[in-house]
Amino acid sequence: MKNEIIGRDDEIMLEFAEAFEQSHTPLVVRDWMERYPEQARTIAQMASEAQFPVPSGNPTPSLERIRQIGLDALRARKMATTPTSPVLKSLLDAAFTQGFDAAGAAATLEIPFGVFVKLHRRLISPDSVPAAFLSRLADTVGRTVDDVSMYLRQPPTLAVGASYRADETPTVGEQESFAEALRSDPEATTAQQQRWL
Amino acid sequence: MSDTEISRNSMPIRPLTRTRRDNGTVYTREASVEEQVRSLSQMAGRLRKEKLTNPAQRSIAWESRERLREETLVYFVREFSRYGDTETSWYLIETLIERVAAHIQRKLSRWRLTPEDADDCVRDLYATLCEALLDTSPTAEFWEVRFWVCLDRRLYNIIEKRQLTADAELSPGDQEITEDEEKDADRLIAQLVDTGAKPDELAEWSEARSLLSENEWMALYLVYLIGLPEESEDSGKQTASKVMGVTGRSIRNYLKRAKQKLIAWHLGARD
Repeated sequence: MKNEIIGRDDEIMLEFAEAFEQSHTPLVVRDWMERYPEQARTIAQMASEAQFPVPSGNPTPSLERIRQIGLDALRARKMATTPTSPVLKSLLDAAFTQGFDAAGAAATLEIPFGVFVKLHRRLISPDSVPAAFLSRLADTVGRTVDDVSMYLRQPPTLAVGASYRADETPTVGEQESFAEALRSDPEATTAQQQRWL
Repeated sequence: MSDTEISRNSMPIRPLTRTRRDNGTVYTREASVEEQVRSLSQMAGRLRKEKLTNPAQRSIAWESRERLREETLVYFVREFSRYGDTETSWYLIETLIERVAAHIQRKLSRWRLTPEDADDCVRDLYATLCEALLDTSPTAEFWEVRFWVCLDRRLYNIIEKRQLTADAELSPGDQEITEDEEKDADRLIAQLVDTGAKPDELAEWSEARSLLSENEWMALYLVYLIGLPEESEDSGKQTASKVMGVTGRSIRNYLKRAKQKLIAWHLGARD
């Protein structure tokens, strides 16, 4: 409700700003003040500033002080909203925020595209993933090794958007080891296999 | 993100959803903002992030073609936050904090606030700003449509509350104005009402206005420029006293003080 009121006030000021840009007349200001008496003072304030140059007068906090107060407010907000690192829910999304699509992430990690997708869907046994690779993966997606480890230890997922018509609830089958996935992937290069096996 | 989207590198553009009350159409971002959002969204992720987090954006000149609009930055604060990249989102908020600092300072300088009150206003404004930037509800979309209007509205509201308290403690001017002085003042104000003044005249008015408190200026603006009555017995009528939330007597006091100051300024300028 509070948000809706704030939004409505913003909306009125946006519309007034548009109307006043079209016609800088007292009539427009009066009309809007009459339509929205609760916002009348803000409307008058905006109109007066648009029509008359705003002089600097009184001493105010220094720019440095203003910035500092702003950064303090941001720090307080961060502490209030991010007490702990948010749970990693999707390897693909995490890679995306770091500027990679799946192919780009796979190339950076020196693994085939298919193996990256298997990691994303947790189709690879977490204990089989080499520590060096895990560290590289965490770095690539901008998370900690613990975050990624925890992600890989959750149950495997089905491909999003796949259609199933079986009578029983579909399962995703057995996880395979990282080495098996890398060896069996038709797109894996010798260099990739040598790098991680 | 679905597997079918795996190979995509560009960021999908989030459309606005809030509709206008007057015609039911969806609000739109300004063309230049829309263009920046589109162009950045189509870039490779790394390049997009580099462009957005370029430290030069914090102090880039208004007229620079490389300047990313504030509305564009707000859009990406929310997008990075949505995709879980809070670090980049925080970084962009810092950029906005840096950018608005000079604007806030300029606005604050027009009010007669104590240093403590000014600090409190800045603190309240930044807290509100941080909250609004991370708000992904449709009501917060206006920040992507007109950032400065949204910011100024909050700044006025925050300052006014403090200024009204401070001004309530001020006593009216005790110096009487003679009839001739009143005519002089009215003549000066009539010049101000003529908004077709030349730049040098406007500069002079800017100097005169800086002598008035915000409430004195607002009373003058409402009564002489907008043409509102000071007060009215008709409760349905818009008046300066209603707009400013004070009595008609307070309005007359503001006007009296404003006129005294304008006369003194005019006499000084003539000497």
